[in-house]
Amino acid sequence: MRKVSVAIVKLTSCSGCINEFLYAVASNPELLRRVALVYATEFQDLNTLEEVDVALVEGSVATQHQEELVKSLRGRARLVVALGACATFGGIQAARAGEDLRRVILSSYPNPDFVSVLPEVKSLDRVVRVDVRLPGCPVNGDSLARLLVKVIYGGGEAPIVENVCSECKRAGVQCVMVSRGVPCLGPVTFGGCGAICPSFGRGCYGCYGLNTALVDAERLAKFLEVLERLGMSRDDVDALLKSFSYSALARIQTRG
Amino acid sequence: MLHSVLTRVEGEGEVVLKTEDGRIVGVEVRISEAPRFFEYLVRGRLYTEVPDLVSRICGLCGVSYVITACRAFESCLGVEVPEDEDRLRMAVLAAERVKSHVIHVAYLNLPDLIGLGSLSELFESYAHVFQKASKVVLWARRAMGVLGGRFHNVVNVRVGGVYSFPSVERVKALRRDLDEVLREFLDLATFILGLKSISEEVHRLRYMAVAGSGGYSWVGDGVVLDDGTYIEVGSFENYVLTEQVSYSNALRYRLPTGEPYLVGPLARFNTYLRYLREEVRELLEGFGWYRSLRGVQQSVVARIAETYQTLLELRDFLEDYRERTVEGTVRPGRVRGPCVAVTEAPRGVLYHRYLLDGNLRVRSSNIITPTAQNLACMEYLIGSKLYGSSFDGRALELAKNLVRCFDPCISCSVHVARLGT
Repeated sequence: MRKVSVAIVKLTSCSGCINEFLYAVASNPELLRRVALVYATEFQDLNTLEEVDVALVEGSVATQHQEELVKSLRGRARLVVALGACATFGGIQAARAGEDLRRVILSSYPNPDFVSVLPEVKSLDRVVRVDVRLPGCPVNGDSLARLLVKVIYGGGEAPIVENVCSECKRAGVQCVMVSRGVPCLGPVTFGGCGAICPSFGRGCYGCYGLNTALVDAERLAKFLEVLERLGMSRDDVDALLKSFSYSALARIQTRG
Repeated sequence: MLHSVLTRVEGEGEVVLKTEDGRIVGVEVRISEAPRFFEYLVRGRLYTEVPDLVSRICGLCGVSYVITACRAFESCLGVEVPEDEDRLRMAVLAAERVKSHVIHVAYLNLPDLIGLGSLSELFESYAHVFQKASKVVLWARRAMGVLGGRFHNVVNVRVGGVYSFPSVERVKALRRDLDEVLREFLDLATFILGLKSISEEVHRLRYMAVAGSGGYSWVGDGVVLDDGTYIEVGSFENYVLTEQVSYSNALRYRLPTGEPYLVGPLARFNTYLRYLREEVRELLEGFGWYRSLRGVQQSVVARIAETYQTLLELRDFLEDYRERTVEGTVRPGRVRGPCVAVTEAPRGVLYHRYLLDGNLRVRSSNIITPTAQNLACMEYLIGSKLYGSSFDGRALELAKNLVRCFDPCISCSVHVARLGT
């Protein structure tokens, strides 16, 4: 039985999505029989990053070194998977993009000369072609497990075009915005989480990213007015969108 | 000079051994992980949003960040947390501790103790052990889901308490399954504690834990050193010495004497040994481990003891659980000085400090992580073992193993640093 070779590559991130891989294999040990983990520094000593079937990439590109690593990885991986919000949209660290880099560095380090990062924080698709995107902060471990099963059996891609509202409806969760006037980013956010925040009685804060398949610049602007009427300041919404949807925001703005 | 990428740890780092005439003369634990500048990211944000933001610092211990930030704001804004809500969020913190400890003990550290190099080898050669560990991790994941919303970046904790109480049925189901999980855990614990490969090596180390108000403590208003010195949380930041070195994206910390110090399970274990529950004490006594731990390789014993202690605490919580109504909106008072708090994250003392402006938005912040505090200690320890000895591959493996025993969380350590203001 040929095993599917998998590399787990970490860029600028927190390892939360990589740990969803751990969940995927712990809950479905069969995966470990069918997958050959050829590169994963968190889980093993022997690491050679040669040709692989699947590269699971967590994190966004924030250094020159990471940019080169990702480009060389693309040439060696049959399938490149953007795992989670950082790889898909830039992640929370992208909220510094466009700010004065020296000021950013000085906010955290006494000596800025020891720190070397790119002025921009890039999602994976800004650097290389990406085959599959699994958004989420963190990614949903069950989706990752299903993707791996699919790859093992040779299945194709099934893109998500739902928003969080669809998840609330399916789970029978009462709309927090309609029933209680709680600001909620669910209507413009990719589904896939299972409507966790509304099911705990709070509004979605958009951690699965802006759903560019359903939302364009005009619709977003109208929706932001609704949030403002519910008491959420424009700055606060902008900060959330920049934190979890940076590259998507840029995309719909250029599309007009 | 020879260096090697750190493996079976969270995040990106390297250990470097410097040599002269074939003898090791220097050690560097390099933290190459790219920084994310959280101090910058939280600037200007409302205090209520900060817990969800700082949760993103760490993929393994995000709840510790959420709880520490909440406690920091509650203390400076005079917000009272209803007791039931506090118990619920402490249970989320407990479930995270189980997850983090078992992942390290079974998946990252155990291969060293039985001479394997990877998770996959563990799965192939010790499938029963792998599966027992997985059962505990999967239960902890479910507990975090039911009580907190998910395994990582939990959504049910806020400044002032929680957003909602989960239904009694879901909590009872967790309680029901916990008995089997405890049995699986004890099998795993018995297997590991019985291993002769847990090193008896003694390290002379200073250590620090959160000073609680009774019992084996996870939160408190200050920290305590091994010699009993107490430092109140408001003085913590000025008490420790901060240093930045050119080869690391993480800051490092020392005691005022310049000595490195250790935080984490071993420090807590030695500080609170007498408060371990009877069941935990009996388990340890059975293997001769009910005693102060003297070397970092024995941290695995502390992690097992704490996991058991925590599972038993969770059992009590689930037994007593009653569904409540959330008390509702927080009414913050006037800001009284800096917002500071310390919590025991799985890897040790986690310190947060925020300054708020008149609109309750963050003006500046500083977060000191457990791993950053342990970095100087790691280098000191590797150096004391290896200085003057001849260089070979074994030396490098030993250095990597010592680092791994600290269970470093490298992403955390670089994502936050000291703020000038």
